[in-house]
Amino acid sequence: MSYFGDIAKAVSTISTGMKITFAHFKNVGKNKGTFTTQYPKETLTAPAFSRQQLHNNIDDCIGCKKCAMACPVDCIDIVTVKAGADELSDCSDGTKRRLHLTVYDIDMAKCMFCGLCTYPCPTHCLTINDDHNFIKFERSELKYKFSAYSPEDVVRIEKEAAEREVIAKAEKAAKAKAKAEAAAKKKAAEVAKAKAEAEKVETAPEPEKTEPKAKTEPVAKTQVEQVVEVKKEEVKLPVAEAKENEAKAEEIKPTEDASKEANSDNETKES
Amino acid sequence: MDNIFLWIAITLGAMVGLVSVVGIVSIYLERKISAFMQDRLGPMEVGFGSLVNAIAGKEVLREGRIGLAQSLADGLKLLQKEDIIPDGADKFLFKLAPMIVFAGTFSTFAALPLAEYFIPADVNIGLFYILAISSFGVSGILMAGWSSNNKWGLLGSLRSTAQMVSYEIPVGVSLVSIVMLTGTLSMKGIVVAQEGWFWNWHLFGAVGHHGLIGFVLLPMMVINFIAYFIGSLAETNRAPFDIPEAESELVAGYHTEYTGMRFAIFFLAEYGAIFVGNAIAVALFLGGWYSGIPAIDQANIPGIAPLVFILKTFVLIFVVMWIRWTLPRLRVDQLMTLCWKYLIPFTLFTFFSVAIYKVFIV
Amino acid sequence: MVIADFAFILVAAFVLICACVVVFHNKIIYSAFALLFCFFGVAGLYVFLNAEFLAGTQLLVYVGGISVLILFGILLTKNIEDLTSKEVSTQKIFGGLISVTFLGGLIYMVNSVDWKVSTPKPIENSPVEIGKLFMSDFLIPFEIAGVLLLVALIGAVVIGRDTDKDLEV
Repeated sequence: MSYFGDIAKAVSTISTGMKITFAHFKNVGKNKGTFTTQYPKETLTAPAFSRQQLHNNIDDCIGCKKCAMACPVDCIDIVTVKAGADELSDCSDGTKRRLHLTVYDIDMAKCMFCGLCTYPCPTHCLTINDDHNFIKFERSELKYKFSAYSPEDVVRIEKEAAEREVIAKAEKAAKAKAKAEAAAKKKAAEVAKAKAEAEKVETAPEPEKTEPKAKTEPVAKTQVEQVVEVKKEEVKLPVAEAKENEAKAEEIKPTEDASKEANSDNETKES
Repeated sequence: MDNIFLWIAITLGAMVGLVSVVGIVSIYLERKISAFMQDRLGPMEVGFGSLVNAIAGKEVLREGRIGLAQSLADGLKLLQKEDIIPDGADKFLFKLAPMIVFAGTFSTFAALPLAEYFIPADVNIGLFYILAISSFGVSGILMAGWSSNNKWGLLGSLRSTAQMVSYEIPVGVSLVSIVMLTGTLSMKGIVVAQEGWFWNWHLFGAVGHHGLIGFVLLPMMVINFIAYFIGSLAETNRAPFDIPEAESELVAGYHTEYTGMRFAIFFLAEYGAIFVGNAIAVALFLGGWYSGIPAIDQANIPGIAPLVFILKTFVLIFVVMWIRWTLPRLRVDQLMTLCWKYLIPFTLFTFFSVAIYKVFIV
Repeated sequence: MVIADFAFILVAAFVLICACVVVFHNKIIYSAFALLFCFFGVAGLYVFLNAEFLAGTQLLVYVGGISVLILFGILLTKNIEDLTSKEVSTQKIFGGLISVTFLGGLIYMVNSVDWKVSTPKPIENSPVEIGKLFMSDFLIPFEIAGVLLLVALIGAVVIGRDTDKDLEV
């Protein structure tokens, strides 16, 4: 009879279901039992290549601002100050650094985790990693500051840069004046020998250009070392030193064509 | 005169304590059991130590907690919540409804035989009283549903009432069989009739008292017990009979609009009703405060009788929760089919069988 | 005895207030709920008369059954919010007169009857005695009531049955 058949079916199906749930109930203490991750105590690793948190290796950053331009939501904030000659160490891949990064902030509250900023980075110092554990209590805490300088450092660097600029301007003005005078003299003296003179003018700027590509240090220096070095160089900046470096640079010049390219790239950006 | 008031105060206090503790423990168990059955962990953070520390403003340690104080913390949270009364609600009835529902459940605790000398009110119609007074809560549910001026609330309360009124019949008839067998309506009398070994329990046909002929009763009593158990599930609106508060269609049924402590009172009443429903099953079918082994009962260990009773009740409550987290919800017509086409014929059959047994065999 | 009297007055006042709300309240739903509480209070009065079984029956039948049925009927009625009993009470003067006359008659009757206090002790186990009476002295009324209820039940099923459709569904 279907009436009692229904009852039998109900009993059997219910007992099957109850057995299943009880099996799960029993297994709870064992390893296979639970799927809960007790978050603060234990964390799961994010899948490989997942885009979670931006990290900038500031020692390798040349301050080119390409990442900031690539960012669709403008969450990267960069302020650079021109560094003096050889004030900064080179990047780990040999690229020359010329700018102090006084501000390098990434606002992870704004970030939309597209990862577009990491592609244009010439020195591959800006990376997006799988560290997803960056919970903060305040939104302002999500603004990650990567700059290696303390506020006092920033003040000092800016001051120095300003001083250098003043000196450079004065020098430039003097040079320009001298040049103008020289040109005037030349014009006045010998117009006919212009051919030979022109060659000389063309070759003249070349050593100046190669000058900044000084010593190549394969290992990036730590901040402390860097600061110390900056101070050291501050002390012995005079002309003799610079001449020494010039000689050095000329020695090394042929070996680093690649880095030169990158540098020239940066220069165009800066200008 | 003073003694009477003192006695009333003590009894009321003890009962309020019992209801609250039962509610808190049941909610904790529910959360843990549901978690375990779904391969989760359930509440893990709030232990009693961390609760005390959190209140005192000290550092909260995370180690070694299994969430024992979670329900207590939830209760504290609900106490602090805003008490929202909807604009369109009928304010007076809205406030009255949770009290009525809770009163309906709370009053039934009065006749629960926790131990031979530990019954708040041992009236000679104890079982009848429990059945009657629990129907008082139905009106509270109707009141809650109507006064919140919410279509889900009203639908939920109508469903709940229809369900409770229909299932009162199989529940009542299955209990009447026991009453016929023992010849008393007093809860104490019914439990005392099951003294001794566990085969004296009504679930096993009270074989000890009736001799071998008692085995005739055994299938009847098992059917009775199952019918009562299913009926009590439906009367307390538990899954799979939880259509009155079916989350997926009615949000929360009759307590959709309730917040804070009023909601907590509904919850407390619900778990209290589950406790009472299973306590009746224990008292009537499973030997009440008798442990089933005479040596233990006669050892006179203080407090063992209520402990045995509550332990048995919680075993049944575990089964209730186990069922809840296993079976899907029934449709309204399936619910009524189960009641009228299956439970009522079966309970009537056992009713007549027990009557024939009582008249012709004993 | 003072406590019992105090409790009795409380319960009686409760019943009276509820009854007044039933009659005078504008909203019909309030009247229905008040009726429910009125029945509940009457059950309390039965307890004072040592008729616990009757009190339980009152609760089960009137509070759990009939009141809920009335409430059900009201809740399923359309536009229940707008409906007030004012629409019904059109003949206030006539109705008032009749009620006052009736009240006077009742007061006269209560005062004129010589009420006796019953001396026998209350029966200890009333359900057993009631059952015995049902099965002996009052067997025919009891059975007739049973048949009446059965007829009503069958009648309800017949009325509620959907004749247009196949019965197997």
